[in-house]
Amino acid sequence: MPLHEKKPGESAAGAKRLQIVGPPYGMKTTVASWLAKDGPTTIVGLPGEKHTDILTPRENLKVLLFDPLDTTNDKIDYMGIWNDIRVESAKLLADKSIKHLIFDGAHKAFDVCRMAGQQKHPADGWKAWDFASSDFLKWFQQGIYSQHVEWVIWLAWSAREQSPIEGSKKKSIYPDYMGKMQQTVVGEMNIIYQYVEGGRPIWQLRQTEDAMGIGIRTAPEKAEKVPVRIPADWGKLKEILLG
Amino acid sequence: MEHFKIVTASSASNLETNLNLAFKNGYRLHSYRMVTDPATEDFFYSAVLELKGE
Repeated sequence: MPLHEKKPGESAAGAKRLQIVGPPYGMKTTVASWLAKDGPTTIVGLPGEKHTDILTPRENLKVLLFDPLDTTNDKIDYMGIWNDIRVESAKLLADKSIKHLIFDGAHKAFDVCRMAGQQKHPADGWKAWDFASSDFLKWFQQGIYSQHVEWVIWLAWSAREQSPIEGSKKKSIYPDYMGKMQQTVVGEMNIIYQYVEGGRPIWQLRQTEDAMGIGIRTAPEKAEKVPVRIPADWGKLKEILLG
Repeated sequence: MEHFKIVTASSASNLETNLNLAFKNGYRLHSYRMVTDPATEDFFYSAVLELKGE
């Protein structure tokens, strides 16, 4: 594996890989579509995600939707759907004409991956779970290490989790994935918590005791100046992330 | 062993630890959810497991 020296002024590789989590009705899809003002943006409604189609395609905004999941069909081929997600993601991540690629409903994709694991290993619960955890992480890594699309963003629900602070009985916000993935994903990329206050979307950028699964990474010399919360504004966020 | 088994934990991570123990005993995941008490807002994670091969 080649080794290279980071040059002064080179932004951190992970600065342009974000996950925005929040409760339903948190305006995540709407706010993501605002990126179209800043360049070609493609938003993908993942299988099971029902609300990406609130968006109207327009200049610089392409909306791609997987067909709806027919959950009344007991014989859904989840492995086939999971493979479709991996293949379509790879195609989009190789498309140099896209500046911002957004995967909407990553928590739903986790469900698909878990069900695919169950179908692949119907008689072995451990192998099924292991497939879901490892393959889902590989999907994130597809996006994290992509060299062609400048910004890759995942949207997902948030969930509450027991605070990891010893002795604390408080609840803390994390991305909404099953099992240890809830915490694993925090180590993989920047996580922003989006919620609505007074009708306006707000981003929480820094970890607090009630949101231990949230935080962005910046150069140590800049980290202290990062505000805990800002009104959702891509220009301001990019300034903070890229410094 | 029971055909269905319920495991609970106060956190998703701890639930996974409990799930792994059940998987080793031949169970597979049937369903998974977070359960909240609307009165107190206390919550826990819960999974239903099914004995495999039956």
